[in-house]
Amino acid sequence: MPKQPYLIPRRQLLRGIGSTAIGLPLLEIMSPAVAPAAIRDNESATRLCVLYKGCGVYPHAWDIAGGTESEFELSSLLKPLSNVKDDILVLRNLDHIFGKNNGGHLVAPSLSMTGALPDKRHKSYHSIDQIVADKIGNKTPVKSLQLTADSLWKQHPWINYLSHDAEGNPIPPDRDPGLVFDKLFRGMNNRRHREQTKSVLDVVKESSAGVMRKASGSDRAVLAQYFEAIRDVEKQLNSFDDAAEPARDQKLALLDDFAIEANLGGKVKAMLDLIALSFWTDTTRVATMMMANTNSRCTYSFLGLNEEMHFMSHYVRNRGILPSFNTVNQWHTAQFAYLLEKMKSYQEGNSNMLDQSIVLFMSGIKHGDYHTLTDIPVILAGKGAGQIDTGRHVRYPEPTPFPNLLLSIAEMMGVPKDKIGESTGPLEGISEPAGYPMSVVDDGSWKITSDDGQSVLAKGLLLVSDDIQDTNAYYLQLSNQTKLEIRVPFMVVHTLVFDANVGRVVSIKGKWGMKDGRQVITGIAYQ
Amino acid sequence: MKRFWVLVILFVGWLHLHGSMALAIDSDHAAHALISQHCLDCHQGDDAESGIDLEGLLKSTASLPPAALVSDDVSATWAKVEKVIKQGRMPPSGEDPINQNARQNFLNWFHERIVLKNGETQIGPTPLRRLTHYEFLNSLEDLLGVTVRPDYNFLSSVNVERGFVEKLLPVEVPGKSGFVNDANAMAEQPLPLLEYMKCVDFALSKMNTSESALEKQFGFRKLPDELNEPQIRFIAEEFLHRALRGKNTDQHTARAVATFQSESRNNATLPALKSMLRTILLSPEFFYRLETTQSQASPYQVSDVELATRLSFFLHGSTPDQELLAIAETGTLKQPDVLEKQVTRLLNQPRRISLSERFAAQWLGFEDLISDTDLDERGVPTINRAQYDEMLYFFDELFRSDLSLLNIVESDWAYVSKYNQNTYGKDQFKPRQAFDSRYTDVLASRRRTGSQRKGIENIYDPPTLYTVLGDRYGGIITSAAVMRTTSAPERTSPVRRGVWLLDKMIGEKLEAPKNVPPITNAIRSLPTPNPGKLDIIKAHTEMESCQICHKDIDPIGFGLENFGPSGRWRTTYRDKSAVLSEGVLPGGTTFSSPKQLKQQLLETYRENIVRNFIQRLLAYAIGRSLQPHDRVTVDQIYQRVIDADFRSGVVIREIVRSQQFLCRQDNG
Repeated sequence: MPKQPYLIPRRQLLRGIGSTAIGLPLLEIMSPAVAPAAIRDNESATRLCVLYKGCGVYPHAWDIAGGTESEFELSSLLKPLSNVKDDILVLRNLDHIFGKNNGGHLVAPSLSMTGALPDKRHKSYHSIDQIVADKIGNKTPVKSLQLTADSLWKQHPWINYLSHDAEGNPIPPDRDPGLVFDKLFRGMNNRRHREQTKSVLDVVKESSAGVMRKASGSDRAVLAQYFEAIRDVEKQLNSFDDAAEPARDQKLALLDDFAIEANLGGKVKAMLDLIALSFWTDTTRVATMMMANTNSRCTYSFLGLNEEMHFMSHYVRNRGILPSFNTVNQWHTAQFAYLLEKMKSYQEGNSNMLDQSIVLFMSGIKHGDYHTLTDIPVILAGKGAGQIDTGRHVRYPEPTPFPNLLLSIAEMMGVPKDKIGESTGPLEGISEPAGYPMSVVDDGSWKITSDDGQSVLAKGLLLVSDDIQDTNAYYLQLSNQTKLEIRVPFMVVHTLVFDANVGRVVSIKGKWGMKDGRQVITGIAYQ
Repeated sequence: MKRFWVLVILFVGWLHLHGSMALAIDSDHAAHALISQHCLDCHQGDDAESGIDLEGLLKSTASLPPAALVSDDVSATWAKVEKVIKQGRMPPSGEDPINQNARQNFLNWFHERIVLKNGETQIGPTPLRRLTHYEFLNSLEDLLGVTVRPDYNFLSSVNVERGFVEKLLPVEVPGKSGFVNDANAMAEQPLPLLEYMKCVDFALSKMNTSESALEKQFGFRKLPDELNEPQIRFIAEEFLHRALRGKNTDQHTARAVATFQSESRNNATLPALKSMLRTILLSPEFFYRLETTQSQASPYQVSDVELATRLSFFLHGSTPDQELLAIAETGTLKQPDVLEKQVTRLLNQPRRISLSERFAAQWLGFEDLISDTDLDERGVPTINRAQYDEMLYFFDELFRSDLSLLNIVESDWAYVSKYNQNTYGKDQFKPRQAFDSRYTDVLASRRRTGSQRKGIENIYDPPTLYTVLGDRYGGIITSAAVMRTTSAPERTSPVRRGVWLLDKMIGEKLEAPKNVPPITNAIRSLPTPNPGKLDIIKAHTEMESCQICHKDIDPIGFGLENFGPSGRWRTTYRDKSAVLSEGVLPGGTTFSSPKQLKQQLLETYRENIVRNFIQRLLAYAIGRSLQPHDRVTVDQIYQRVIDADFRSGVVIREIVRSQQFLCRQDNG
C-alpha cells in the first residue's frame, strides 16, 4: 500500500489568527546544546505517563516464567524491551479486586485508572493521572495531555476514556496528532496570538453579558456552558502566560512541522513523539494514551494483519488467530519501548528524562478471551527520581490489589493520598528489592528420569514457544537448560487443559516422535 | 403480607410529607394495584431483578402532584413496564398472569398519567438547542458566502480526506435520540470555543471582498475607507438579523457598532468589519437557538421567526435564509399554505442534502464511510466513497421524488457506483430512466462523470440510477455500505448484522448485556477441534442467558450470509463450505433468500418499520429522544402516512405540522 503521509495545513490553519509557523530541523536531530528543562533535581518524580492497551494478552506469552527477581529472561511479548530491561519493573499478581466480574471488559480502562468499579451513582472516579495533574499541572502551560489512537465507539464512548476529573467526568482524548502538535507547540505559545485571542474574548464576553437575563431557567443551565467555555479558554491563555519561559521558546523554535504517516502505526509513533516532546519542553508533565480500546475495531494492516483487534483478542473462540494477536501485542510493547528509549535519550541534569519520570504500561484485563481481572499485565518504567528500583521482576506471593500501585504512584509523584479507589495501602517492593520467594525454584530435579526411545518420563518447567507465531509448540525446560519440544494435537491440549499449567513445574509421560528431523514429544499424559 | 405493610408505612410517611398525597395515591391506584400484586416480588429494592426497582418508580411517581410532569427517566421506565405488560412478556410464565381488567386499567392509567397531562397532549419541556458542528459550519458558509470544507464536486480522488476544519472539531457523541443534534447530549459536551474561533477566523479569511460579493452579503456596494455611522449601523443590523435569526435587538446593533468603531481606531475598515462579524459569530445567541419563554407547563406555539429557525435547521441543517425570515416576520408562516410553500421551497434547495447527509447517515451509521480508508477482504483499499455515495444518492432520490419509505427495505431501483459493479455483479442491474421527480436535482453538479469533465483523468465517478434485476439487491439492507459497516474487513458478523437490522429497521434496540457469562464452557463443549462459524455461534446461543436475545438476532444475520464483508454475493465460504442463508424471523416466519427476508420484513414488520422511520425523523427534527408523551403525535403521523402511500414527503410535512415542532413547553 502506498504511504500517504498527511500534512496538516498548519500555515493555513494559523493564517486567520496571525501567527507564523516555524520551520526547523526534525525532532530526531534536535540540538543537545539547548539548555536543560527548567526542572531541577527533585525529590518527587517529575512526569507521569500512562499507556493503556485494551483487550488483554495471551497470558503465557506475557508472563515471565522462572528466573529470579533480578535475573530473568524477558517473555516473548516483552522481548522488544530488551534495550531498556534495566529501566523497567515488571509487576505480577496485581488484581482488580473485582475479579469475578466478567463485565470488566468494558469498564477495564476506568477500573485501571481509578482503582474502583463504576456503579449506578458513579460512572467513574478521579483517575490517577488527574489526581497528579490537579496537583502539579499548574506548573506547565498544559495541565495534562489525553490521547487516543483508537476510534470512538459511539455506542459506548466511555471505553475510550482513560482520564476522569475529580467528579468522575471523562476528559475526551485528542485523536489527531497534527492538531495536538499545534495545540502544544504552536498558536498558544505565541504571545501575540494569546493577546489577540484574549482581546477577542473580552469583546465577546462584554457583548454577551445580557443573554442570561432573557433566558428561561433551564435554558440558563445550558447557556452556562458557553461562559464555562470562555473561562476555560482564558484559563488556558493564562497558564501559557504564566508558564512562559525562554528555555521552552528556544526548544520550540527547533520543532518543525512533521509529516505523519496515515496508518495506525504512524499515528501511534507520532503520539508517543508528542508525549516525549511535551515532557522535554515542559509543556505538560502528565499524559495518558489509549493505544487500543477494550472493544477496539482497529485493524493492523500495516503489520499485514487485516483483522480487528477485539476479534483477535478472542483467540480461543476464533481459533488460529493467536499468532496475529501476539504480533499486535508484541508491537504494542515495542511502542512502549520506543517511548522509553526516546525519553532516555533526553539529558536532564545529571541523568536523563526517563530516570526522573514514571511510565505505567498496562492492560486492564489479562486473558484476551476470558476477560480475567487477576494478575493483569503491568509494567512500571523509569526510576521516578530514584524512587523505583528498576531492572526487576516482582511476583507478589499473594494476590495484591492493583489500586495499591496507583496509591504508590501518587505518592511518588508528590501527591500522597490515604486511599485511591479500593486500595488497601502502598505497594511494597517498588523502591527496593522485595525478596519474595520465587514460585518456581529449580532444585536440580528437572530432568528426564526414563527414556526408552519410544516414551519418556520427565520433570521440568512447562513453557510456551518463544516464537509468537508458533503457538502450537510447548517446551519442558530441564535443569541443564535444555528444552524438550512438545507438539501434541489440539484436542490433547484441550482435554488436559494443558495450557493452564504453563509456568508451572510438571511431570509428564510423553511419546517420542520426529518432526522436521527433530526429536519431539508428540503424545502426552500427565504423571 | 410484608410488602403490604411496607407500602402502608411508606404511604403514611408520604402523607406526612405532602398534604396532597391522598389524591396522588388515588389517581395512581391502578398502577399500584397491578405492580404491587404482580411485580414487586422480584422488582424491588437495590437488588431488584434486572436493576428495575418498581417500588422506587411508584414512589417517585406518586410523590409528584397529579398534574406535574413526570421526569424523562421515570416516564421511560414506565414505558418499558407498559411495553412488557402490553406484550404479555411480564410477568414471566409460571407466575400468576394479569387479568384482562387489571391490565386495561393499568394501560388506561399509563395513557392518562404518563402520555397525557390533565387529559391533554403534552410535549414535555423543550430543551435549549445548540448548533452542531455541521450546523455551525453550514451557517458560517451561508452567512459569509464562503466554503470552509472541501467541495466534493471538485474532488477527483476516490477516497475523501476531511477538511481540516472538520478535523479540528472534537467528535460529537450522539445522544439517546441516536443523533448528534440531541440537545440533552450536547448539554453534556463542552462548547469547543477555541476550535470554533479558529473556524470563524478561517471563514472570515476566505471571505470574498470584491464589490459584488460585499454587496450580496452586506448590501453595500463599495467599501469606503471610512464608513459613516448610519452605514455601519445598516451593515451591522442586516448581518445581526441573519446571524441571530431575527432575534436581534437594538442593543445588539449598538454593541456591534461600538466594536467596529473601537477596532477601526487601529485598523483599516475591512479588518475592523471582520472583527465585528467575528464578535457576532462568537456570541451565545448565534450558537444557541434561544426561544422566548412564556413559562408555561403546557404546549404553546413558538413565534414565527422561531419556527423559521426550526424549519431551516430541520430541512437544511443551516440558518434560515432571508426569504424565510422575511416571510416569518410578516407573521404568516403558520398559515398552512404559506408553511407548505416554504417547506417545498426549502426542499428544492441544495442544503436539502442534509436530510441524507446527516439524518440518514447518522441513523444508519454510514457517515464515517466517506473518510474511511480500510482495506477490503482482498487487502485492497475499499472505495468507501462509492459505498457512501450509493446511500447518499438513494436517500436524496427518496426525498427528491417523494417515494415510499418502504423502498428503504426493498426497491426495484438502486444507485450503483461503477466501482461496486463487480462486487454486486453486472447482471444484477440495468440502467434506468430518471424518476419523474417532484423537486430539483440538488446533486446535479456532482452527477457529472469523468468523461463529462474534460481534461481530468481518473476522476471519481458518482453512482447512477439502475433498475434492480434478480433477487439480491434493492433497498439499502443489502447495499455495500450496510454490509460493510456491519462486517470486519475479512469476515462477516451475523450477530452485528442482526443487531443492526433489528435496531435500525425495526426499531428494537437491544441493550448490550451487562454481565456476559464466559463463553469458555460453550467452547469446551464443542465436539470438534476446528468448529465452523455456525458451530461456535450455535454453542454460544444455546446458553440460556444468551439465547434470550440471540434467538432474535442470529437468524436475521444468517439470512444475509450470502453477502461477503463488502456486499459481494457468495455461495460458499473461503473454506468451500456452503453458505446457508435460511433463517427465521422473530415470531416464526421463515425465509430462504435475501429477497424473501425483505418481503417478510415488510409483511410482518411493516408497522414497526414505518413507525421507526417516523420516530427517527421526528427525533432528528426536534433534537431529542422521544418520550411516551410523543406517542399521540407518532400515532397521528402513522395514520396519515398510511393514507398517503408511505411517501417520505408526507412524513416531513406531518412532522412540521406536529405540536412537537410548532410548540414549546417549559418545566412545571
